[in-house]
Amino acid sequence: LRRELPLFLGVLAGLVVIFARLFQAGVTSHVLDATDKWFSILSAFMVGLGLVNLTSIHLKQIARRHPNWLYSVLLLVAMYAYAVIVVVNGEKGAVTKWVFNNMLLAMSSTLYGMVAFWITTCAYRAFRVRTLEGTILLVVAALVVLGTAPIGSTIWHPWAQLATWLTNVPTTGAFRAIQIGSFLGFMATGIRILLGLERSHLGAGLKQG
Amino acid sequence: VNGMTKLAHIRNGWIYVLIFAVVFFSILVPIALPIPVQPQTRKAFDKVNALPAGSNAFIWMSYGSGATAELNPMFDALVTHLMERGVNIVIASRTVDALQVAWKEMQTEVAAFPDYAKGYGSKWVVLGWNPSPDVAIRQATSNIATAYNNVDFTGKALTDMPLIKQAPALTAQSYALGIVMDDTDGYLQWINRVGQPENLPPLVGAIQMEVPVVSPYVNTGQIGAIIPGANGAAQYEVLLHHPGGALRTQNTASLAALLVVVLLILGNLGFVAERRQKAA
Repeated sequence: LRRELPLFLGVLAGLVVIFARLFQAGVTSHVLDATDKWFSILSAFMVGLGLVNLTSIHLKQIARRHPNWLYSVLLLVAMYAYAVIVVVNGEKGAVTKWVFNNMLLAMSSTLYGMVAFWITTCAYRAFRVRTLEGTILLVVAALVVLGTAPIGSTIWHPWAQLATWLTNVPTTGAFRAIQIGSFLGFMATGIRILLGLERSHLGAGLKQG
Repeated sequence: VNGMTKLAHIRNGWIYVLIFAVVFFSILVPIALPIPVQPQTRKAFDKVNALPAGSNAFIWMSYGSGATAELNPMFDALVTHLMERGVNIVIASRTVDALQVAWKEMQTEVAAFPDYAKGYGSKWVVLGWNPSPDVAIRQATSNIATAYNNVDFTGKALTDMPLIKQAPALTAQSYALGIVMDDTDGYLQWINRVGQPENLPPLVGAIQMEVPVVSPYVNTGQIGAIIPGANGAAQYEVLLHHPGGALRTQNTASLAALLVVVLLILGNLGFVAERRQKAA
């Protein structure tokens, strides 16, 4: 029953939401509103669950003196310190805002900015004229990189239009194919879960103990 | 040939130094390169420009704090344009980060528009946080106040605000335009939950990396228009005659793009030389 009951509840919830979405009128509309509210409550609950989970994982890392245990200390201190600041100072308090604007935003933007460094070194090492396909990729990458910056159209006026065309037509076509493929896979997995054929989310296949 | 082969193995550290130098130089020495406006940005601009004064726009912030460098200038340009047109603005967020960002940016942007600076609640509103934002945006199509637990960002009751009284639900009848500022898949959630059911295709402000993923939906009409990345935001600022953060980044983008292409050429010259040396 430890497996069957969660499976039954999952299938039931999935079917209710699917039918409520398909026939958005009358009773089903109310059902959808109710399930939406449950989802909101569960989402809030999941934040708390995430906090407990993170704490448990990183306390274990610290206790076992894992090679990067100091990062775990840093994470726990930062997480709980910010939680305390928000509780004591309030959600819109001056200290809360200061930490958000001057630490979180700055660190996030820095991390995002560092991508430029990684992308440049990766492009330098990966884009080589090894094969015909690699050469095409290299030429297209160079055209798009220059075309999406003002310097492209300064060097040659139609460059920006060419880059836009490359992004909007061949790249979009390829992405569309990938999207259709991934959505079909997504639907197939959903159907397998609803039919009870897919049980990995219930721990099937994992070693017990 | 020996010297040439070294070009295929430039150390990462030197490349980092070069990027840093390029960024630093571009900040110190501004080069005003022309920014040609592409049709897709003009389409987005025209959509906002066609909004009548007194109409309402709903902005859904769907990005994390990491994307602020690329999307904040776009957000600033869009709200400036909306305020110039006299359009009322309601802002909701899909991420906690963006909610804070929206509030902070609006404090700066409204300062230039006295009606808006004094008109919080009647000219613009930032809605409160719902931990399940994708569900909230669907519920907003029935009732905005209910979807956001009847609180705005500052904790005031939404039902007391004239703007929410005037436009209580996220429908095409109440809102002339929906805008999604996006770095992940917020546009998709909007299409499913608001765009298709309410016939309100959004204008999407996307990060450059996301443009090919979003574009199919522009072609099908499920997305009304797109502003592509920081370059698109710079084009928008040109159309608006309001130079801002996006235009300032374009110097750096140009020089960095040039550096990437130069490195690609050098790396491949070295690679070919190395291959010839091995073959000889």
